[in-house]
Parts: sequence; C-alpha cells; structure tokens
Amino acid sequence: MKEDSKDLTEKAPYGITRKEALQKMGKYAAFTVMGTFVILNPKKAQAQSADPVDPDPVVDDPGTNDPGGATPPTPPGWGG
Amino acid sequence: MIALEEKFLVNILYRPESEILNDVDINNINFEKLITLASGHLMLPALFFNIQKKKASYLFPEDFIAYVKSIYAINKARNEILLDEAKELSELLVEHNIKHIFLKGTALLLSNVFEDIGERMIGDIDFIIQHKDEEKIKKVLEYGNNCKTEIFFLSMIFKPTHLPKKVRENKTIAIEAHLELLESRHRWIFNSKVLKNNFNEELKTIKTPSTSFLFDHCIYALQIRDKGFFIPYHGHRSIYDIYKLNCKKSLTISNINKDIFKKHFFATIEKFNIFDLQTTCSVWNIYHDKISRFLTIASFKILTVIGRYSYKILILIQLLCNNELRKRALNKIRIHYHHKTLLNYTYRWLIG
Repeated sequence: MKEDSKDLTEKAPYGITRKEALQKMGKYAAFTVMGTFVILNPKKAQAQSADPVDPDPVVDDPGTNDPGGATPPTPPGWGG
Repeated sequence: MIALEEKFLVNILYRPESEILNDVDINNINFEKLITLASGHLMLPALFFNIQKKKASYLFPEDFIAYVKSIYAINKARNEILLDEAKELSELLVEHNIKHIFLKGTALLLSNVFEDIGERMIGDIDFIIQHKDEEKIKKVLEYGNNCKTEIFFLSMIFKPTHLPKKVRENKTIAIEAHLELLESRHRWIFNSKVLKNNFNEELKTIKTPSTSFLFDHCIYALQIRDKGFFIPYHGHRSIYDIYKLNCKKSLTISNINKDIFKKHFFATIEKFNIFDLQTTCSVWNIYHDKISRFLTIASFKILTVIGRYSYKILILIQLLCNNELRKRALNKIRIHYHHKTLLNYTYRWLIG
C-alpha cells in the first residue's frame, strides 16, 4: 500500500503525478481494455511477447461468452 | 445481432459523414461501452481520427472527446518514434547486408496506407529476413547466447515464426525478427515463399511488400494465428486495415471464393455491410462452406497432434545420436523422473 501511494504521488520528470494523470484521463480510463495501455506502454508491450515455439493446440480457445454483445474478446495478438 | 455501440463504431469508421447515425439512436448509446468496445479492438485512435474527419464530435460528450484525443495523441507520438526506429533498424541491417521486409502494422504505416500516422495502434516493429541470415541477425541485434531457437536438425523442420521480441538498447519500440509468417503447422497455407521475388530484388532500406501481400497476410494472421477461423471473433483492427488497403485486385468475389479463409473472413463481417461483397448465394454454397470449414478445422487438429508428437519423437531420436546430450538427459531424468512422465520431462527440459 505504501509503495502504491508513493507511486501515485511521485512526480514524473514533466511535473505531473500518476494520480493527477489518472484524474486528467477521466472516468473513461476505467472502461478502457488493458491492451490499449499495454501497446502505449512499450515496456509492458515487450512483456506481452508470444513464445516463438507455440506448442498449444489451435482450437481450444473458449472464445467469448457474449458473441453479440459490446464487449469484444481480448485480441489474441496484440503485436504489429 | 449487433450491439448498438458496435453499429455506431462501424458507422463512424467505415461510412461517410451523412450515414453516421444510420440505424442508431444516439440517445441510447452507452459511451462507456463504446470505449470498452473500441479499446478492445485497439481502435481508439482510429475512432478519434474518424470523429474529427467526419466532423462528428458534437455527437459525443466533451470528456469522451478529450479522452480519445489524448489516446490518439500518445499513439501518434509513439508511431513517430516507431517510424524513426524502423528506419534506423533498416539502415543497420543494410549495413550488415541483411535483406529484410517490414510486415504488418509497420509495413502499413511505411506504405502510407493510412491518412494519418496516429490512426493505427502498433505493438512492435515486425520484419522478415531470409532463413540464411538468422545467425547474422542474432549477432547484429545482440541476442546473445540465450537465444537458442531450436536444436540441430529440428530447426530445419520446426523453424520458429520469429526470434524472441526485444527492445534494443536506448530504443523504445520492441522489434520482432520473423523467419516465417505463420507457425510451422500452418505453413502449408501461407509461407515466406510468397516473398521470394521481393527477396530477389536488390538490398535496400525500408522495403515493404505489395498491397496484395499485406491484404493476404492480414487475413491469414487473423483467421489462423489469431484463431478467427475457429472461434466467433472478428477484429476491427484487421477489418480497418483491409478497408484502408482498398486492394481492388484482391477484393473480388472470384478471388475471395477461391480461398476458404478469405471467404470466412468476409462472411463473418458481412453483417456490418462494410464491403460490397456477397460471399454466400445459394443453400448448396452454405452447406459446402460449412463442410469445408469442418474438414479444415479437423485437419488442423490432426496436424497439431502430429506436430506435437513428431517433435517429441525427433528429440528422442536426437538423444540416441548424441552421446553428450544423452548423458546429461539421463542424469537429469534420474534425479527428477518422479515429477512428470519421462517423455514430457525430457521434452520440456530439452526445449527449455
């Protein structure tokens, strides 16, 4: 918790705290799917790297439970 | 059944200004849901770009516009860096005599497919090299000794699709050096041989493939690699790429009907009425498509099983041929055999 609050108040080099940044982003940030932030944050994007050798079966993905709904399934590939 | 928010998103992205409110009651739009939908498809920057282009910002709350604008601005700044780094990388590879071709989002951006460089969200810089340059590129990009892709002759059969993703020193965007376009079990459908002519051309920087290749790659990547052929999934990022590519040569009924993956892609998105294509016309065609799809999925499953076991068997054959490897494997198995089955343990240890 302490680390979290420190993280929120720590000033970035361009003079805005993470808390201020979140407030500035507004309520819509909470409705944004993580993939968008992962791509916009290169360090996290690197961690999303797929294993070049992929022994997993192709057809076992359960897909979405909400095919006609507004919530899309998370795209399997967030790469290029 | 298409959700109202998705109808609205499709209208904004693909239809002219006058048709944005077709079949949509703006008072019933849930803007939080729209953000979730558009961000799930990585389309927030494209959404903002089209709202601006079609002068539709009066339809949205102010804080909504401010939010999507900020995402668009961050993405645009990132794509500017991406283009600079792609150019720099290309120069480095040419310096070391490595022929390379950019792929996917980077290639689309470099080919000026989009009106604005902030429209498309791109994860990394993808490019493909020839198999013969694999060792050379590992040295140039400083992969070190940790990057052991495959063992001996297995590498001939199970060539990885790409080397591990990495961010070069003092750089922002991750790079992904491809050796192939799809996983080994899918290469009978689409593989790097289609780029043979491009590789035969002289060495130069910032090389991108033809629009028809980008069109095909976009569809196969979504249908096969991202499993669009197997699950009820459509990706607006891919649909938008195809829409922007505007590849009239590939967008013909005869071309699409020839290929089950392309046909499935367009059949899945037919409900949105984006492209003027009618993929299914008779009852016979519908049943024919269903049977073909079932057989293709069945063959994929069989190939996956065959691939998995043949890989394990090849590793075991290799154990018989290599004394040093056998000695190490036996020693490890002697200590840990009770954790897992012998075959699985050997397999995991060898590939790990």
